[in-house]
Amino acid sequence: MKAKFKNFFLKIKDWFIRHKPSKRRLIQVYAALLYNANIKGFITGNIYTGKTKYACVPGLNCYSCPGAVGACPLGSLQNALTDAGNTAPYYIIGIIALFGLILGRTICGFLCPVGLAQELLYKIKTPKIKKNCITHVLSFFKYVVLVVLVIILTIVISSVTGSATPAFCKYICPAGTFGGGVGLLAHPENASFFDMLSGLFTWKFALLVLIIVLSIFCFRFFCRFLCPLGAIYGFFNKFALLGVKIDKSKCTDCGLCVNHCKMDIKHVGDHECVECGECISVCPTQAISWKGSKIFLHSNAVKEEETTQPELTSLLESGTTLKDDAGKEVANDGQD
Amino acid sequence: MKAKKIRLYYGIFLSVFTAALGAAFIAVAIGILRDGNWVQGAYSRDIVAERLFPVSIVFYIWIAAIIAGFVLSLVYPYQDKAVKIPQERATVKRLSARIPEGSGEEYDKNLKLVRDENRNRLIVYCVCAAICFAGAIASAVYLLQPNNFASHDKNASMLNMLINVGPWVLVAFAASVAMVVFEKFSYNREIAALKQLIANYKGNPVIAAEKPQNAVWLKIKAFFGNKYFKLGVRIAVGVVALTFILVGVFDTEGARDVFIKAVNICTECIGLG
Repeated sequence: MKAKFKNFFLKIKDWFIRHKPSKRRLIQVYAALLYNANIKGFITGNIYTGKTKYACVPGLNCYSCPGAVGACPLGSLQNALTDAGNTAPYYIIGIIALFGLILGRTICGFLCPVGLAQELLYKIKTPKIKKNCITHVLSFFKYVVLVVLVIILTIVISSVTGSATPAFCKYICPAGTFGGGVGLLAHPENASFFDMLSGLFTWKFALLVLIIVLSIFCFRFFCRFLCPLGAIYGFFNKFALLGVKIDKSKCTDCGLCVNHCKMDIKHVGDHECVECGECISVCPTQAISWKGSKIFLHSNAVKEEETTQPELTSLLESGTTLKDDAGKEVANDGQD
Repeated sequence: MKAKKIRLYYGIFLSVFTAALGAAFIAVAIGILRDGNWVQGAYSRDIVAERLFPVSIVFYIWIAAIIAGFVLSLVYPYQDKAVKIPQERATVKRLSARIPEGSGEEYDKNLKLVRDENRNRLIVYCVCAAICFAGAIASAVYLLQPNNFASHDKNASMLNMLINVGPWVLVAFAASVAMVVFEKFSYNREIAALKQLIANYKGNPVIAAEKPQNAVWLKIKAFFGNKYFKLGVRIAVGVVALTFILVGVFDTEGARDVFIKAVNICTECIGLG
């Protein structure tokens, strides 16, 4: 009996050791807390009005959240586009370009609270919808959202009616509904806001619930299919200073990195890659590393016990034909 | 096997529970709006609290079920599934390089199948591209007409936009999905034919004549892949970004506009309209 209890507690200890938060997770949590550091806002039910709101945070975080200490890049972009007829949105475009150049979609993998929330929801133990060729096609829908809702509609409606309409924020954004809407409405001081709620809030709330439920079954559902900010940062992935890179001289095109990744990438570092670095430990030839790793970090030291298929390296070098668990031959381009 | 069954049943139970809970939350919101005659003012703090109370009890049970799932994963640990084989396109490329010499009816039939599949895929790509292009043009025609958004009822304008543009977007994505599904089956048929050829005929591999590569295209690829080009782009983007920021701060007051928007509650963003 004693042994059973001991065994059980050892299992719990082992689970905690295996599931201790990674550095990336800690950075995500710190970023989410930093973006919403205005604790006083949650207590008083008012939003922050300090000078830090001149600057945008890199990730998606509604500036109407009581805790938000910075501006939302997407909301600011849409607001700037509503006045595009009079003044070009230099400031916000410059900020987004700077974020994209330095970080690319590392923002999505490390610095976005919405991404963090979705990754935590995905940990719930339900059957999952794995990526496939169809999800890859659907991942292009976020570009449609970007062009139609963020750019075209915002400019056209404001030029015609004269009033600002940030179409994505108004009709889609779950960060606004949750952080701003629910965040403000939850406070007793804002009871009067309930009188302003109508069909629009019902639609947004329903969409928020749908996104939350789908994020449980589908990895990063919002990021993959709906987020226009990720679509914008994806354009910078190839040139960003930070992120993951592949050493072509070591890469054998085995495809393990692509198969391990839960995003709809075709190759590591493309526009769908959120630069989370989860593929680095999977690569058998250590061809994947962080950009700038020669300057800032030591070379990737993959521990023997963490390597998923340590024999692959020697097998590839000897030219042996590989088979997967089902006994089928693994494609190894150019090598027989 | 027992562990697998327990995990399966638990997974199905939690999936259904999650979907039902989500539906319940949405139903509460729609119910409040309906009972208020679908107009503004249907919501109030008391009504929301009253309607959400039963759903909140179910929500806490759902949280307990999730915690139970994590305990279950301690007793019956989840195992990562085996890595899948790479995509069909790479397999076709690899096998195509090994097509042996041969003759006979069966050989010709398989070879013809390989060529036909290539041709069929090309046709499907062209048809899909045409559908997507037509959808894009039709959508652009609607979106770029200011009269379609002249109404001060923006919700009605958006609904009309959804009705007019939505079907085109759906058709384009449906065509793209059909294309990739067809491509998958086509590759599988081609792989089967290629394996037949390789298995049944022991002649020397037919080395396909390499298509002459366009010298201009090679130069363009080399130029864009050059590390100095990347460096140049980074410097250019950085300079432009910093310039824009400075212009925005000191000249056009873009920074002030961002600040003013951020320090006032964005009623559209939070669903107040």
